[in-house]
This record gives sequence, C-alpha cells and structure tokens, in this order.
Amino acid sequence: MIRDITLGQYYPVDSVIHRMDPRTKLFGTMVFIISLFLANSIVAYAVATVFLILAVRISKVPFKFIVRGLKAVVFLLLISVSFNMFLTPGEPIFQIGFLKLTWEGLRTAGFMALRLIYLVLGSSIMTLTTTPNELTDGLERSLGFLNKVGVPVHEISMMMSIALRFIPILIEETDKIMKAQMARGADFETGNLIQKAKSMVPLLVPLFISAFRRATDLAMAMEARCYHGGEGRTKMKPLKYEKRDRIAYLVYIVYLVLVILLRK
Amino acid sequence: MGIIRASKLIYEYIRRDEDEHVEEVNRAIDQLTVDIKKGDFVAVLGHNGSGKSTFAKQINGILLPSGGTVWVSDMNTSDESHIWDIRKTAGMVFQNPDNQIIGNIVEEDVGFGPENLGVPTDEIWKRVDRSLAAVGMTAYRLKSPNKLSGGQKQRVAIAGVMAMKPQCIILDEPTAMLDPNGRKEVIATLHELNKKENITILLITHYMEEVIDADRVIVMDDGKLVMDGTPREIFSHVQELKSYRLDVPQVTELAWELKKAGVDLPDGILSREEFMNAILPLMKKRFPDQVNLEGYCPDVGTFGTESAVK
Repeated sequence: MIRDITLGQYYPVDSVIHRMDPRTKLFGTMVFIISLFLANSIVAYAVATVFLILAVRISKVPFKFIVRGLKAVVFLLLISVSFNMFLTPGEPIFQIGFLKLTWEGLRTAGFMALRLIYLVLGSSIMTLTTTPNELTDGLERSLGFLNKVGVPVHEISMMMSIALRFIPILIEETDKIMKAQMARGADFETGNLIQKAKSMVPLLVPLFISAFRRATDLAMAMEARCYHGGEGRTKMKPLKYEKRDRIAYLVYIVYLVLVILLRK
Repeated sequence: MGIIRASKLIYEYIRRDEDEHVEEVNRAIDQLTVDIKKGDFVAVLGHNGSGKSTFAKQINGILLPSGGTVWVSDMNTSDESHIWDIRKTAGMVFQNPDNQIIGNIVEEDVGFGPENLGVPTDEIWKRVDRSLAAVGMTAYRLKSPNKLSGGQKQRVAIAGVMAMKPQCIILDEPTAMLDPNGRKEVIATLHELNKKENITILLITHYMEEVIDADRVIVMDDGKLVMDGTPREIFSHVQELKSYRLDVPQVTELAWELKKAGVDLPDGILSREEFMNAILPLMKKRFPDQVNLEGYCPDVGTFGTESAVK
C-alpha cells in the first residue's frame, strides 16, 4: 500500500510540461489550488476539470499513474466527506439519531471531495513532470528574495530535494523491516488502535536508526563531492523562461479569470 | 614522490563521557607510512577493523590525522585552505550506493560535483557526458537512481566522482553490497578508468578476487601496514595472510594445499588458467594413460569440448 504514493516520483517522458520551467509549473499549481478554493459552482468546477484533464493529456503521464496518488488520501477523503455530509445544518433528507443527512451537506461534501481529489491530482502532475531537483531549483529562485531577510533558502531547498530522493528508499526499507518483523511473529494488522500503534514501535525504531545512519553517510558523500553550501555554486540546468512558459502564464490568467467569473 | 603519501599517520577514535573526560581511545591507524604512485591500481586489503576505511577517509580530508601527515598531490590534508582542492583531486566512492547518490536523475547526480566546484554550465554538461560514457551508463542518464541495480548505481557514483576530474579515486568497499555480477561490472569499470584515463585507483576491499589484477596490494592489520607488494608476492604468503584473518582466492588456496601435500607447484598462483597450466603437465606425467591434453587451450585454461580425464 505504502508503495503507491506517487508524490515526489518523477515520470520520465518528454512532453511540453516536462520541459517547462519549474517556476512556471509551481505558479501553475498554485493558481490551480487557489482556483479550487475560489470555485463554488458546478460550472467553475467543470472548467477546473477541463483544465486538469488537458494538463494530464499534455503531460503524457498515464492517467492511471496519477490516480494512484489518490490511494494515500482515501482515508482523509472519507472522513472529511462524512463529516461534511452529516454535520452541515440544513434541510434533512433522513435522520439516524443525531446524524442528519442534508442537501447542503451533500453538496459541500461533494465539492470538498472534488477539491481534495483535484488538489492531489494537480500537485501530482507537477511532481511527476518535474524532477525534484528542478522543483527545488524553482523554489530556490522564486523564493530567493527571502535570503535577504535571513532565510537559508538554498539549504532548505537542498533538504527538500534530498528528502524527496529518500522517500522511495525509506518506503522500501519500511517494507523490508515490516516483513522481517512479520517473519518473526510481529502483528501489524489486528488489535485496536492503541495496540496497532504499539506494534509500530518495533518498526519505527529500526527505521529511524537506519535513517540517521543514511543521513551521516550522505553528509559525508556530499562533503566528499565538495558540497559547501550555495555559495559559488553553478547550475547544470540554469532556469530560463522560454516561449512555452509565457504561453503557460497566459493560460493560467485566462483560467483563473474564468473560474472567478463563473463563481456564484 | 607519489600522489598520495602518508607519513607516520596516526588516527585515534576517542570516546568521551558526558563530562568530556576521555573514556576510551581506539587507535584505528598506527604509524602508517605509505607512498602511492600516480597511475597505479592499488588494492588495500584488511579484515574488519583493520583501519582500511579510516585510512580512506584520511585521504580526502573527511577525517584528519591525530598524528603524522597525509599529502595528496603535495597538499597537506590538515591544511584547511586546500580542503576543496584535495577533495577534487582525490574523489571518493563509498560502500552503500543508495547513500551517496544525491540527484533524483542519473545525470543530475553526476553534475552535482562540478556544480559544487563552480564549473560553468556548458563545461558541466561536457563533463557529465564524458563521465557517463566512461562508466558505460549513458543509456541510463534520464533514469531515476532507484530503478538501477546495485552495480549500476555504483557506476553512477563513480561517474559522479569522475565529473570532478580527479587524479585519483578512492573506493571504500564499493562492492560489499553488490551481487557477483555487479561486483564484476564495477571492478571492470575501475580497470578501464585506470588504463584509459590514467586515474590512480585506491580500492579498499576484502574480496580477494578483486585484488588479483591490481598493480600493488597493501595489507593492513590492526592499523598497521603489514604487507606490501604485487598480488603474486602477497598471495605467495598464504600462511601469513591467514594470520591476518584474510582468505586467499580459492584457486590460490587449492594450489597452496596441493603444494603442502607434496605436489610441485609454483608459489602465488592467482588464476584458474595459471593453475590449469601448471597442474596439467604434472598430471600427464603422473598418469600418462588417463590424461589426454588434446584440445587444451592454455590461453584460457580450458578444453574445447573433450574432457581431459577419461
């Protein structure tokens, strides 16, 4: 199950979106997220859907691959949907005890679910088409102004890129430890919540120890390759806006205006 | 005057208790003096805890000597102002391939070193292309490192070091976590770099098979240099190697055991071909009727299709 998280997994194909400047994609994701929270009518959501489908199509990433990222948020989705469904005041459809299903609730829950799903899908497109290094480069450049007020932008972006690199490795490791513990009779499945949480301890302790060991090793390897912070560093892939980026920005503006206009 | 020199090198791991009092001193390297010639392929052998990994970390200034001096191309590693030049000259590859790849794409990882050195963008790309070609990983340049096999990851790590244009590469047990195929892949790559690019290789290992083709073998035990010579010289002293808890290649051991039992074989046999070439004439002499050397090819030490012993 934990292998299904697609966040931070680059999908290597050649498409216009892949070739876009990461800053453009970051900005686009932001615009998309904002638009999701602005949209409150079915038409506005339809526009968002079209925008999303177009983005997926252009990115050439298989739809199945993007949807896999949703598995990770199913639980969250269910909780928020049921809360919204039953706890929104309004005209009841039917009632069981204190739980009331209302039309308003159904509507908010639907939008909520859409919002969450689109949020995950939208950001997945970004992470699937941008190598984490590009992504952090983009963040570093876009947030460079924070450097002046003492925020170590380069260091933060380096940490993020390394964290992303190690997600699949640590997931694999979790899997391995889990199997090793299961082979010796550990039980991660049964019991109530507290018992389940307790059974995670023999999983987390070795995972943390190994993560720390990896961190030490990696720090050494980085030093051995002359890493000494952002100063005096050159870029293998310097960021440059191209024509496609300008077009993308134009599309974003049109899209955002459309969503705002279609608000109720 | 070699590219790497150590003189009376001492390194101590010091463990302190909470009040900063010295609790335990563990001398990992003890009075090590060694001189490594430019362009050589040097293997460092030693049992666990012999200090060989500590020695490797001394060479590019990850650890600094407690006593004595290390020079890398005439720069003293204790001199802080040279530290980046030293690391650029002596690149290092570590044991765990996962824990030394920084990039999320093969080519980005290879470019990491030159980026840190402040190399201009065009030059970085040239270096990345060349380094990937040198280790035979050009086809994988856009792949995620997670999708590669252990041997391929280690070759990417080597390319990452190559891109910094080092004069020498130190490898700290690069094959310890690999399967036999990956091991062969990596060692073959190293020999090629050594020959084609004239890069000095310092290979730290405890696999005897990887040592056979080296120009020079250094054996360490308990922080000291105990044997130094060509592979043949080293492997002629099977008894001594065993006293340092080291194994010898299987075929060397077999030859040694046979010799002990009275068979007239030369010392320090390193490969199967050599062994076959030495033993077959003896067998022929002893059992002229049963041994037939027809079809035997001494270059590869095997027969065509027919068997020698009927």
